[in-house]
Amino acid sequence: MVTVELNDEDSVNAIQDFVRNTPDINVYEYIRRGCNGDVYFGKRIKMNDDVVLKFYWSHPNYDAAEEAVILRHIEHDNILKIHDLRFLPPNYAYFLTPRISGGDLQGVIDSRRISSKEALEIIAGILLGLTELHSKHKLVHRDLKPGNILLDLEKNIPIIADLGAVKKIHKADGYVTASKSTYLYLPPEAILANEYYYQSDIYQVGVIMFQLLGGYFPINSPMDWLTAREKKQLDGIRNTTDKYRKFDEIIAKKIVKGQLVDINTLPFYLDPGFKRVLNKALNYHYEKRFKNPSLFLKEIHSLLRSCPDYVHEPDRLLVNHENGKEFQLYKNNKDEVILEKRLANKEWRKDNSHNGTIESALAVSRIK
Amino acid sequence: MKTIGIQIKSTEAIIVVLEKDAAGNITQTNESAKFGIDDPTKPNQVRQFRDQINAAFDSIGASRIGIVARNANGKGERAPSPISFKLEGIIQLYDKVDVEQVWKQTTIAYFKKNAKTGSAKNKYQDDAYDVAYYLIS
Repeated sequence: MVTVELNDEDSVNAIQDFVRNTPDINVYEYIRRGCNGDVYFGKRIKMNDDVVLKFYWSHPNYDAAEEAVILRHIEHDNILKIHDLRFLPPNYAYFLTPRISGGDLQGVIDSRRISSKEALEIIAGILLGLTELHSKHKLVHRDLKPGNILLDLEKNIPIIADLGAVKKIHKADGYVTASKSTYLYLPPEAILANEYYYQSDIYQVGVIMFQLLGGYFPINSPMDWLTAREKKQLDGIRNTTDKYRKFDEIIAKKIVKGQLVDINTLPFYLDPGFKRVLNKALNYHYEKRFKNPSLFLKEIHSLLRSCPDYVHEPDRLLVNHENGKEFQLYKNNKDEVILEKRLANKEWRKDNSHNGTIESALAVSRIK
Repeated sequence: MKTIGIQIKSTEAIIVVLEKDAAGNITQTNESAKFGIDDPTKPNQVRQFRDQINAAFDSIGASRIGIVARNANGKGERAPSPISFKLEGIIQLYDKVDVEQVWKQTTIAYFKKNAKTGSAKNKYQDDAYDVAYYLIS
């Protein structure tokens, strides 16, 4: 049922009628998400909880597909629970899920800086969810990206959402076709051979980790990836469809050449271990990536144990250790590197045990 | 069919994964790994170890899992460390497949009567390899 003006004229009639004739949900908001389908927010009247109604384009009888049958039964803290999943004629799949308090991870990346520890903990949670999808259900997600990861603020955990593209892999080392819905996150094998493996999901988690840690990934202004020459090429195309096609073609080339995710753009202060883990997760050859999410998780936990937490604020870098020791690095008016230390929230004191370079100050700050 | 053999050494659990194909050939997979804990007094590290072990076992999907049994009453150099019991307890909490205790004497006796084809990829994996091999045969 609907009691407010939804302004959902962009949505098709079948979906508009459906939300208005759903008796047990009071639908109160509509968001159009382009290629990602139509999204409505509502409240289940009997349960008194907020829910999301999402409609994807699908083939007929999607609800009888093997993946849909599996998805209905998944119960895991790091995977979005599906209350209801059904086919809506003529060609839509309807997903009813809980509304998660913290919004999606892309929103968080856009709004604030994430500390390295927070980034690693988010990745660890995603990998636990991915283990459930891969191992227990033999499913690949195929569309992992920050926009499809929700944050539950109550439990402080990430939740894998947008399960509309999941696909079952029937053989242990088998593959399925790639989902082309989010081009920027596609691994090389999806572009070169339209093949998507379990390790292709690992690649996508690697891209998320790269983004969370502050690597160069201008998702909100993707033209920034292009060189001046490529921009000129694109400007010369008048037809919009051809323009998009050309853009995808350029991006595809960059993915295949390993230029889209450039590990060297990671912040200077991260320990070498971060690059090592990302190089493995993002390896060009899917066979050389982590074989499964648990081996990736092991490395993430190892980083959490061995590295301090880095918080990059506009005017300084904070380096926090588990034992309560904190450092701050910044440059003063004379462009000199200043390192200060404090213990358990006491006064900051200058630490001059470095030679005046950023590298040296950083090395001192890393010592527990 | 896959089996997992585990040996706890100091603050690490050494895991060897063996796979038997339709022809009966047994090979060690590259899922074999070491899982450790730096400071067992820190709850977050204990939870991380639990998550790693559960995720690894789930990913591997072994039909049998065995751990080298240790003598709790061992004295002197043979005394098992208290941390190792903590790790063993966490491993045994895995609830999808029972974690079996396999005594070293059992594998020694078994290999006296049965030839072992192949060996562990690394020396430190020998005992865990023997357990996995014993379970898969």
